[in-house]
Amino acid sequence: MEDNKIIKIENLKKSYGTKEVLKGVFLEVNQGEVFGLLGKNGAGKSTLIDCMIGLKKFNEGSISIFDMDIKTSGINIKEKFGYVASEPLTYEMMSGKEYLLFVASCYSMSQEAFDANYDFLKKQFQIDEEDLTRRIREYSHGMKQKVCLMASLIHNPSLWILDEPTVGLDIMIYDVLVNMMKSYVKNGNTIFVTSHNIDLVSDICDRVAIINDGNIQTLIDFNKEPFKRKNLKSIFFRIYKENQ
Amino acid sequence: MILDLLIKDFKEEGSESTLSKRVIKMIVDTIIYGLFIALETYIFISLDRKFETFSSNSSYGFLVLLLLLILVLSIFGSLPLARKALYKTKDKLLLASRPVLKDEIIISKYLYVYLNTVKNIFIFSVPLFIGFGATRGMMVPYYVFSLFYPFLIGFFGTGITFILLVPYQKGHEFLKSHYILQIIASGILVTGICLLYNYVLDLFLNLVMNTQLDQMFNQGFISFIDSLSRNAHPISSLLNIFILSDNILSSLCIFAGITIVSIVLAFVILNLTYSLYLDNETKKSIKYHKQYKVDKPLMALIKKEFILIFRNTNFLFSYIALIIMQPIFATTVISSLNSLLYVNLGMFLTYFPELINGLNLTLILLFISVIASQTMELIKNEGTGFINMKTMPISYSKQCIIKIAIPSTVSVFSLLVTLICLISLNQITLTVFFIGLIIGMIFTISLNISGLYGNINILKKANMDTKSSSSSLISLLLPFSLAIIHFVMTFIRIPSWSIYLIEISLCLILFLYLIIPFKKRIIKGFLDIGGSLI
Repeated sequence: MEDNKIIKIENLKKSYGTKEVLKGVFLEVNQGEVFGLLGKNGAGKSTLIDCMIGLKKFNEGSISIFDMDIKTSGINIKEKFGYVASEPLTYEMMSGKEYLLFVASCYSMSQEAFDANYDFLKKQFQIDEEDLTRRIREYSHGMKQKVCLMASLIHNPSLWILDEPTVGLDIMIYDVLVNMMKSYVKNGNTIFVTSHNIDLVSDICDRVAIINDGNIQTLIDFNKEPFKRKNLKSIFFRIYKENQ
Repeated sequence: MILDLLIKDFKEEGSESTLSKRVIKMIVDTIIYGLFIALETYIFISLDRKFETFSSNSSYGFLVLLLLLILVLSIFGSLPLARKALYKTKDKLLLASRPVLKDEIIISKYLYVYLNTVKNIFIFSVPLFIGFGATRGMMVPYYVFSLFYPFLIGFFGTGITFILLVPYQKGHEFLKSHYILQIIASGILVTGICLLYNYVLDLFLNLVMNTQLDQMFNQGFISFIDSLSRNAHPISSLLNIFILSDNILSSLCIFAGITIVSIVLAFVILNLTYSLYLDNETKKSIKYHKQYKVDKPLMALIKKEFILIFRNTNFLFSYIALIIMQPIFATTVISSLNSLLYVNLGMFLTYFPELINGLNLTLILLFISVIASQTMELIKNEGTGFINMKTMPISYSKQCIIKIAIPSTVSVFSLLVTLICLISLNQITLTVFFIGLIIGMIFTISLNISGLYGNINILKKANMDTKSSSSSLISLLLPFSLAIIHFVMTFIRIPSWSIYLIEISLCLILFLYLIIPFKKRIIKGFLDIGGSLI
């Protein structure tokens, strides 16, 4: 059972100056599941992801991904996951295709693997080849986010980490994203997603953790408690009301 | 409301920097303007005296010529400002949702450009009037007029600016979608500025040494000036009224007519542009059709750095054009200076045997430092793509080495070409060639490393919009500090080879001080910055 854990977080503490944002988080994510992290703004979701993928240092605790410590094996871990931030963060002076090639090159992909993935993702996200030759600066917000989603998957990662991926997405792209997430885990891959979009989380997640005030308040396993899928909203609000 | 809109436009001008930075900018601007005015007045008074010896009429014509030049330069100088004020979609959208009349917006835009034009004309024309008046014992009304001149001629200048704005905007859009043409155009512009600078420098040196002026004051030039003084309307007509007091009524009619026509045309264009053009705003997209292939990680990082530098329009004039033009610019300045030094400073060589070499070296290092400092904000140039640096499986230090290596290589290549030009024209010695290359290389890399550190420190504390004010200061301090050390050592008669050895050693110490903690500082700094730099 232990071997099944992709992400292991133990007693994670993180402060910004005197403000303690994460107050000892314990979390485990299994291989092949969609794990959701719910929380209101400022609850510590993005900070947790930033620490998890090595964007920020943390004060105490340990994070291991694929049985490797993020502090000592950051580079090896980065090869295995794809990350999407809540805002489309790209090189705006590149064209979409140039950017995807740049990402693929950084992951030492072969030309054949890139071509295959590129064509597949282009089809999935319904983007024209012609659009991908334009500068990213000229794209709409949704188009930029599509390119970022493509870039996060171009190197075939086995873990997909998404931080508020639905912010600013229109209903069409939202639908594409949900379908992509569903087909991604079918192949044995793992997804870690943070969101305050309760509908998204209750729709696709296998397990959900609700974070409040720097702590995991509750952990729900929809496979064991399927009825909670429909009640997630009320559970969420109850937790926040209790803490108020 | 017009006043509120005007205040908004002026506030937006300085909204990006803090009060201390605005004060520093104001001081630096004042010094630069002061030096420019001093040079301008010196040249004017010196030439004015020479003109007097040829023909008294011509000295008045020379004043008209300079005023015309100032007007033309202020019109072209105001074009980018007018474009920024008018073609700002965000501004238009913000105002469109407020209860503001379109006429009020247009008048405020006109006044905004008008006041800037007046400021520019005022700074450069008033010293000329004072110089002209002082040498001729003019009365008080003349000086009062000289103060009002920029306000009167400013209406015409602003009108012409707005008339030229549409073709300027079209040209700007065209160049924006043709990158190679952008580089060519910026190269031509910088060459033009170099040639102008060369002309002014030669003129200044000739005045100082009192040579070759007869060639300049030939009959053709005198006739041209005389004809200009009568026909350069509306300047001539305005000066006719207030200085010559000649044909006052007809001059007044000409001035008023030209000015009114330019204002009316400007408002018609402003109205049409604001209503029609901005409503149908379309952006021409740049497409890259080329062979796309996956590279090795190192090559991908190198290509990325080239894209960040060469596709960034902000770098077009501040870096790319200067890098291309550095050999011409440096050769022009150093050859002009050398011709002056060899003639006039020969006796100083007794006390400072390495004086000329030292001055040449200082200038070479000053050029390369100032140009290299333009790429110092290395992390900031990443923009929103910075997240990639943090998430890709390549060590931070390796990424940063590439980040420093690319602009450093480009700058050093330009330095090498400059030095080859200078040595092939016998303007520098072989010693200066090698020492300049070694120290220039160390300076360039050191500036980029310190820029990286500075950028990380700023981004740790603040956000992307914070600018590093120290970069330009460091780029000036380094060559000047070395120059002082050089002149002190040559004065106390330290042998030449020892001077250069000490200078290289000092530069190496600075380099080692920066490079030794490189990896540690980068890793710590990157983790402190966090994930997103929006």
